[in-house]
Amino acid sequence: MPLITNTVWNEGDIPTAAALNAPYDSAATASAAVDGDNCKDNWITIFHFGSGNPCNNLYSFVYDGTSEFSTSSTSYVTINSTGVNPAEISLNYVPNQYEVLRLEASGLVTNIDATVTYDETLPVGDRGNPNYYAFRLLLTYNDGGGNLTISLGEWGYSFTSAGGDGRYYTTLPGDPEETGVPIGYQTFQFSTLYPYTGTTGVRTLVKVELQAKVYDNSNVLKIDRNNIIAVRAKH
Amino acid sequence: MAKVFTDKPIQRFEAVKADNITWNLDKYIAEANGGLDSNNLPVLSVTESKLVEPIRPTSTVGAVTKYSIQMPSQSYNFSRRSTTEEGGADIWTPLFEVDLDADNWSAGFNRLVDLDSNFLLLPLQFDAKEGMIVGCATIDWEHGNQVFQVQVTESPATFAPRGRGNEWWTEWGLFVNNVLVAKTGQIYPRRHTTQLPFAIPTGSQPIQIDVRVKINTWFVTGSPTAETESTPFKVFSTTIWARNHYR
Repeated sequence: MPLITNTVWNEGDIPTAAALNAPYDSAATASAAVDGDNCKDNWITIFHFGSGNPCNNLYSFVYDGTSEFSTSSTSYVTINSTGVNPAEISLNYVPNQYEVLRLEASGLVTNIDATVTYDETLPVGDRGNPNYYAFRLLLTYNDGGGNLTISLGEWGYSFTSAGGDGRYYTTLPGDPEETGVPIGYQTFQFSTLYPYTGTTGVRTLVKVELQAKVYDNSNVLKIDRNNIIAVRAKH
Repeated sequence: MAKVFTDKPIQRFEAVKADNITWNLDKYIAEANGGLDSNNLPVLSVTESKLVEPIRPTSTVGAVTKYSIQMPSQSYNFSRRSTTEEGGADIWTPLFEVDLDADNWSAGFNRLVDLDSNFLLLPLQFDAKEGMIVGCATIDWEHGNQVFQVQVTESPATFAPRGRGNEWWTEWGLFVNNVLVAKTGQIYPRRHTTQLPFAIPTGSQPIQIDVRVKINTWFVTGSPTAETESTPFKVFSTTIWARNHYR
């Protein structure tokens, strides 16, 4: 604890040279290790933060063009509107324990093709599933071997306004009159956190990808604008 | 302003009073022993290595995953129940569904725990420090319209599928300490992942953040062959996170 000590002299005392020097010697020692004990609460302001973004780092992927990415895949594929610019953020950093990676993604679903929105051959409870499509944020990391992945979350939407199980059977396209209204030109959006709970220095966070899939490969999901924002919260 | 000046200067040829020596020194020492503030410390001086590492005082994993992570300048607080994580199914299977014609629900804002007891621990609770709370709730839910057989011509009588209940709606609200701070407005039938971002100033106080849902449905007419019933209300996942940015 770098606190400086003083000597109290009373009237009539004859200070020695060493006693007079003692507070200054103490200050010289303590000043080499000034810490929170020396400072008032709430002393810091935003102007005191130095270079290197000590608290947060920001990463982003933005595709704001109009090229459509289409998929009928029933397993997740990374959105890639232009074919050469996949929706991903390259992270490549080693987090300290309990750092947080905060993620937000959004985009625009355009003129979808909803061919099958209900299937009565499926088990009860699943018959409305063909109406669904979903997104995922996939984190790639490395603990010293090969790259591994973990899903940070999945989020779903429907091609049409029609409800799921329990409605009248139809496999007709998303006709507003006959089923539900097809929902095109609708934004999608979601956010989540990923806390790193392992030991400091072990894991490298490699990248985050924005992916999409459909339940039924008769339907086509189309996306143009899309983006990912990642905030590395360190301190 | 944490700056000090000599109170009792010692002049040439004066007798030195012991009290004055102590008094002057004590002022400077008191300043260094806990009185330093933003006026004393250089700007642009705080680098990453001078800040303490984050800690995680609370964490639970069960029907709801919750944690709170404290950092020098901010805290992150998180609560989630999801089909692909805590619910253990897949993205197509809801965590729960409400039969709007038979189950209990309210015409006002419903807490999720009132619709499904697994959501008991969902509300995010933490002790905030003075500053701002910036956060977001993300809910994956469905309340679609109905489709059934209706008579479209009289002679001869022909039937065809028709959508009904296109005006049903759902509205989500985000509550901080039981005060509504953000709402979606009415969302018409669909499955949708809805975000409710929010930002509020806060003091040093306990905080509880919750999402609640208002549902509107009614029996629709026009089917001689099918029950004119509502479609179920479903929830697939709910996530609430909040960042407390200290003053």
